[in-house]
Amino acid sequence: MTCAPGSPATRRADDAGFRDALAAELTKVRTLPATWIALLIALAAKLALGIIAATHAIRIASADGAIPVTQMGTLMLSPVYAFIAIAVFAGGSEYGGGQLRVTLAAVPDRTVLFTAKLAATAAVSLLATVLAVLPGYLIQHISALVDGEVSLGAASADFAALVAVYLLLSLIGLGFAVVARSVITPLAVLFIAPVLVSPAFQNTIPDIVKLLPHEAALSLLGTPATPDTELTPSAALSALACWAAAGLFLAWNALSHRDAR
Amino acid sequence: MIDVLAATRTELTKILTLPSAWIVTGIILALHGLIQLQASGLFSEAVAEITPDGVIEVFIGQPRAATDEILGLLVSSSLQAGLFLPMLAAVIAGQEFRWKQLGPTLLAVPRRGLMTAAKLLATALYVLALAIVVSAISTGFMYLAVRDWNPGLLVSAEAFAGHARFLAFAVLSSLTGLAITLIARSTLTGIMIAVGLVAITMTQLLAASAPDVDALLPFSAARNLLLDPGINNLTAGPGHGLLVLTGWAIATATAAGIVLSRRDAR
Repeated sequence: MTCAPGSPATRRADDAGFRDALAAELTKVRTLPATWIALLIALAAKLALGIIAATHAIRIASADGAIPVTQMGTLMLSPVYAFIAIAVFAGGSEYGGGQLRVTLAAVPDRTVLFTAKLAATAAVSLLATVLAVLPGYLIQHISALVDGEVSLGAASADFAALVAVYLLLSLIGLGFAVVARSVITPLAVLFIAPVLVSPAFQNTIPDIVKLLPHEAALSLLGTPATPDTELTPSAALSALACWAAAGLFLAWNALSHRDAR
Repeated sequence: MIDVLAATRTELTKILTLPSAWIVTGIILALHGLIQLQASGLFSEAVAEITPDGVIEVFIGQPRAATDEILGLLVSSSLQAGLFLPMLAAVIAGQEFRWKQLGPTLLAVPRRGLMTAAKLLATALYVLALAIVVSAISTGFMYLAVRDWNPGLLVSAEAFAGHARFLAFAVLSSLTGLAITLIARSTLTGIMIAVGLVAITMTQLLAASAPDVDALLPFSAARNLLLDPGINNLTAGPGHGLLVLTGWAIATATAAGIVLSRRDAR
């Protein structure tokens, strides 16, 4: 039977193509050891920080005296940099051993492949975020919730912001990994920038530094790196969403137009 | 001896033909230049207001003897760029494993101890050259700030001693980064360990609660070696810092030599 493009039969075949590609991408993410290692490290780190924050067992000495760890925004956010390895490996691990050519032989339509990869990574990251973050978050805030110091609504909004940060930083990592054709570059850059690069510039050009992913994430979580780099929650969310959208657009563009290596 | 020279030359060729090594080198120099550029305005203003009795106030509320302060800033500005050098070493070391190069390398240089020594030597030479460029950039920007006051300070024995301490830190910490990556067989692990160690030092997590432990970390040792104890909270003296950095380099390089000579060539 032959069918004209766009006829119902072809469309059904295309739909099946996307479903198959999505299933394949989900299998890839699930069977990558890096996915599970990253999830376990993020879960353990978040849990440990939650216990430290809840018990006030450790205070960090600083120039302004001892401060609780909850005010150390970068430290509290640090598990995310293990977590985003899930998305970075989902996007970048195809390039090392020539896997991409095999993948493209199976799914030649690169837009379908990219959409499937994005959908699978986003779904896995969202599910994994809840798994990685919820236990630590509950331990940190359970007593405040039980005592009624924090309303359930406020806590939910707080938790949603945390999930948004984890998800959007993961998507930035996915886009970056596909563009860089590597897992090392995105993880190294995303991890090094907040620790080594932005502290050198946050006093002289805070208006640029506050728009960077890490600093925007800190603003969204209510612990800006410095008062000068604070953004309103909606502006911080927009900044992160713009980074993710730009990264994903560049990734789709690169995947559609580049040689299959 | 000739074997070592030939193997070192091979390793240097590998570094010099590796695009990622050049990219990271370029990023380090660009960042260093940018940071110096934004600091030089601050330094010029402070130098212009040095009092007749030689007191400078670069950081508000911290008046200090001008010569000490300028010499201190000269070295500490290089330190910031130096923190990236172990990551460069990790990129250099990791390429053998990333592109499965180690097998062919051992075919050419079957004596593994020799190969490890050549790797350490070549990376040390490359990092040394880069660190000299970093010191030169720091000196150049500092010259712009002090040229109307006391430019001779930048070619004094104290200034060169400061640069020498920075070069020692650059080479020793890079050898540590290289060796850790060789042990881990992964660029990513090498970089992450280096950034993690930097983060512990920079956030001063251990400095207040356990200063003795903090002093044993490589980048805390770098602070102890390079920074001025007058304005920084240091956890040990410069001699201790140099010793700790040397200890890290020797311990990790020895471990790398042992595992490379025992393990499968992958």
